[in-house]
Amino acid sequence: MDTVVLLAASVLVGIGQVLVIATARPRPRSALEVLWLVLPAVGAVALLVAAWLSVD
Amino acid sequence: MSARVATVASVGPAERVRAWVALMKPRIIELLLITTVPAMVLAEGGWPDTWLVAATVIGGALSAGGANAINNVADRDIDARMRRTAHRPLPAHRVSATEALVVGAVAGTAGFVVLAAAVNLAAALLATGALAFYVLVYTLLLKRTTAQNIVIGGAAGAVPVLVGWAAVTGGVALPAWILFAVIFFWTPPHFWALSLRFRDDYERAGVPMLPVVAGERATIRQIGVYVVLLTGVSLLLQPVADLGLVYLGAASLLGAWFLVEVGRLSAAPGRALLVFRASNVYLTLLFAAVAVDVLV
Repeated sequence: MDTVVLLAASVLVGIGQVLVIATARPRPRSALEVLWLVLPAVGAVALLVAAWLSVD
Repeated sequence: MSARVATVASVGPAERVRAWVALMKPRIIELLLITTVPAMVLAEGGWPDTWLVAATVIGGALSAGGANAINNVADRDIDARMRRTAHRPLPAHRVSATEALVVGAVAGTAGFVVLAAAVNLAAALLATGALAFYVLVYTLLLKRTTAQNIVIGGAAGAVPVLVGWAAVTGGVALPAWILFAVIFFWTPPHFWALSLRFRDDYERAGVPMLPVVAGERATIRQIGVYVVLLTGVSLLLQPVADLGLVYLGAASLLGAWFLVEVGRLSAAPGRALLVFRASNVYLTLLFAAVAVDVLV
């Protein structure tokens, strides 16, 4: 069951994170604003990787 | 200036103490604590020592209260221009800015001392780090400059779960980071729903909250995608922390319900305050499910 839950969680996080960036308004106009948008995505990906590694 | 000083000086002792409490925004502290205790239960794998819970809650509340009081000083010009916050102690002249700063510094220091003395240094440093981040990064750097203010600033509100975990274990592990991420990704939908309702207030105060700079439809769309992301992150905790069906069921159903509420907001934007309240119910029940899953 762990793998199914991880898979479902990964799909939701992936879709959510892509949409967060794709639909962000207003669009970032500086490197700092890009950083504010990308930083949480990096954190989410790191969390996903760590979660998969911890369960396998 | 002299009229303002005279008004503050005329406030009685009881009223002044009430103002100090109001400066620390006890309702926000309540929400922080709802998340800290379940994090401690999960870290312990059962109910931790009650004295440890009490010390962590008191220290955490003082730290968060200190951050809120200092935030009140930095934001007093904004608060005075917003109907929702114009009654707060500083814009209402019930305390002076210096007094509020002292209240914040004393509460923040007391929080550090309580946590360092009765819990451990890791918990104390995390709580004080959150205070510094909230004031310096969110309030002073982000709040007035970017629509992403609440996204990054939300990290400060997510630290109490790390404090709770560190209180029990002396460090921070992956389940604690997932709880941190849950609150981090919950914060934007929570505050954007509130700022949708008080959009005119934020516009008048010149704060670039998302509904002000991007409009109603874009904000509701962002709330929706953050709830999808939040639901995914919340599900991660079940396999990683080896939780059972109570938590898995709660995380799935609460996520679906939250998304339905956002869908109803999309059809009727006047429901923003209901979505704000739903976000509170969501977080409370999700963290209650963590504790129940461990304890039952």
